[in-house]
Amino acid sequence: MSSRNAEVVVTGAGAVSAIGIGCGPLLSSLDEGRDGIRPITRFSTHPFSVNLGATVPDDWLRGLSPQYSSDSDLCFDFARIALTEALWQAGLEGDGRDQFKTALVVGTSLGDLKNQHHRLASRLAGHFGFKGPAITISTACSSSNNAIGLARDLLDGFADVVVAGGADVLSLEAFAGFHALGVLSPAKCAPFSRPAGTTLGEGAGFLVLERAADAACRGAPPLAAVSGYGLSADAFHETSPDPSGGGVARAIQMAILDAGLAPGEIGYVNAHGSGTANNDAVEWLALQRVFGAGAGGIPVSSSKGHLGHCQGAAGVLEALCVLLLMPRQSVPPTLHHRGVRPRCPEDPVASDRPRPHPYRHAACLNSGFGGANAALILSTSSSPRPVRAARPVEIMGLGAVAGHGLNLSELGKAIEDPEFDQPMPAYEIDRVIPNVDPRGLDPATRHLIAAAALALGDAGIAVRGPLKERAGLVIGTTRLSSQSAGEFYRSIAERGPGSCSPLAFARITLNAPAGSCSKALMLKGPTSTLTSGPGSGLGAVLYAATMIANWESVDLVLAAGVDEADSSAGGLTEGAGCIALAPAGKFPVPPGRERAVLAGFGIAGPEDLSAALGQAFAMAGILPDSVDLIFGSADDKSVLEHFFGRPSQKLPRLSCRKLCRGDEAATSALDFIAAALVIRSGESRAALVVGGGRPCATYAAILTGWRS
Amino acid sequence: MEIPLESYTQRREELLSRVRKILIDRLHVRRAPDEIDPDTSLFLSGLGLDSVDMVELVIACEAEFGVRIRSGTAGRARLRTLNNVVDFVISEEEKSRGA
Repeated sequence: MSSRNAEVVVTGAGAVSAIGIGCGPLLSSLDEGRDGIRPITRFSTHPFSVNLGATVPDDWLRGLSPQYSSDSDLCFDFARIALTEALWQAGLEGDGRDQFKTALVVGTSLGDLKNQHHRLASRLAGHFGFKGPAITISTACSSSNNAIGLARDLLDGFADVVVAGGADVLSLEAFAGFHALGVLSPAKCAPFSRPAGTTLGEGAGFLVLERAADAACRGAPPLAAVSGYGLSADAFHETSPDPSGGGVARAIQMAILDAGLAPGEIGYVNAHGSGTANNDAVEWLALQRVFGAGAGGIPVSSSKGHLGHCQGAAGVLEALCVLLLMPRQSVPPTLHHRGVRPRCPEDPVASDRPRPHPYRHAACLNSGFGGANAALILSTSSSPRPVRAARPVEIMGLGAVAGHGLNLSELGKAIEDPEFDQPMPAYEIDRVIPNVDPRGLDPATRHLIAAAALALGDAGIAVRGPLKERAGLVIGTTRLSSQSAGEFYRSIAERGPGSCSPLAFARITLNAPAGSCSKALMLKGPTSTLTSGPGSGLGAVLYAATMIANWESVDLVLAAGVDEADSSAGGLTEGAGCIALAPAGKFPVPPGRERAVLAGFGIAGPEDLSAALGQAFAMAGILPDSVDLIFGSADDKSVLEHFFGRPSQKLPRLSCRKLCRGDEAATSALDFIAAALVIRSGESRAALVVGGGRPCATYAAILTGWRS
Repeated sequence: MEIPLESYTQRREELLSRVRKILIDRLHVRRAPDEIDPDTSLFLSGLGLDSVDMVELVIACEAEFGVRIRSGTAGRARLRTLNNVVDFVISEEEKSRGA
């Protein structure tokens, strides 16, 4: 693609936080040493031993939005206000641009709790008239950092403008969960200092990202450049960080490599710095791993003393603190730093004022539950990204857990059987993968681990030795496990919010299944969890393919779609499909199989199947005539007819819908698996998989055989 | 005041079965109640609980028995086996009765 490896800049920014509404108040609070931490009034803190939070005062919002009645409206309002400011600053508030080329990536941890996570993004896209893909990243507290990274990737040919950021609300549930885990500080959050502990916060931040050339063309001054990002999994524990610091270090190293820099060129680090004893010590270890003896010379501060821990919005709001001070060549301080805590950064910029400091590149770090780490590199001006040829992506292994059972050959039969109608058979996860501890795994997590283990088995790949750190995992899913969510809410109902279940809380982040799967299979490379409603599984496959194409430090990515039925939410889909992807030719192929590659793919808006198909065929460099089979449930007949030039009834079309009793995340991953099966058996030369659609994003993928 | 031996053992048995139920229902320990030996370690080589599991156990026991265990990590560190948990609950009950 012509726009591959384009330099990406930020041309607009917007913020809502406990400090104020808008970037102006955020900057002045940094200048004046003000924080937004105050006693919580939104709900009673009587059951808790802590009452501080970085909450947005209700009367600020009433001035902007006359009525709101629930957390769900609050989350939307935070995001809407921040997004409006970002578009205005970028000079894009009018409707003169191609809305089909405007994408949205929202990072959120708990979302609005009452609705599925992707609803916030679809509601925002609708409000602003964006018609490009609207994708939600939910990797707990690293969500919005990851979202900005994905936005960068989407500018490689899938969108011209991407608005990316995050939003989260300080809800009673979040407060109760963090309180139960014992990580809330009795005083204002004092990262790297005393007392240890964090203060929860809330808010939203959004950035407008564009290719540098486009921004220059329309005369929009760049605020900074997004020069690289990296992701990693701890594969260690649901809520505690990998004590070796290896997980965080891998994310930073990947980001530095992605930006084409050397560690010595990073002049400032905005740490996650949540203030907890575990996190702060691990982060400092990680920085020492990456920067060696030079770590002591780098200013390392945390913005959580100002903002509190804004959960899914933390990454973008903290990146904003850096963006606002970068043009002045100063760095944000660590507020409330009174006395050094052992095993913390040597230079924590302990002050209540920004410090003048010359630097070109800053690293922004965030880590979340489930061991999901993200690092983002922001630079003062764009510099050419290292030009790399996209690596072709090979489909190495397949694993499916659905109505057909766990056996791949049964999947092929089931999909062709028009009468097929069977529920998923019961299975014991420790029979599929003997070394996994099944204790406390909810159905979504079990299906995921089973499908992932089957995919590795099918690929004949053992993840051990150095491959562990080069193997990643991307999940697409549509909702929380109803079992784990039910357990959490029951614990609040039965024991009160002051005694809610910390175990269940650790599993009500959308990325909890990914965290457990990384740990079970030792996948320590990049990890992400995304949702865009139906089609999320295919979205995960395409994000995994992007990782392989872009990141040379990645040798294998498992991509999966997973669903756990939840009759109360009206979702009946149950199952998981997992695909092991690798750079073409990296691993040997088991005998008797054709090599199958993901030749091309497209990511477009919810009502833009034609763009998704156009991108996919352009990338694959083949004509629609060569496709023999279509998998998936995209129902835009007129578009398909336009592409294939024949009535769509005559196109052989298959769907795995009946295998998993619905059309959600798992369905599209299973469709991809079915397509890969016909390619590698030699029955088809080229197959098309379509998925998603309303309300968030449409995906298309073209699979072909490959000969080196 | 000395508690009669019989009612003491009865109380112990009752507490043991209630903590076992917490371990199975709340902490998802995959064993039958009588397979959880009161002297098995709650941690790695025994039931395999980790630090978050211990927080869960403490909170669940507090809610179940109306005692306060969270007051310090020193209290938690003593909870190495099921018998320890029961001993702790009994000693807290006696303390509150004494007071």
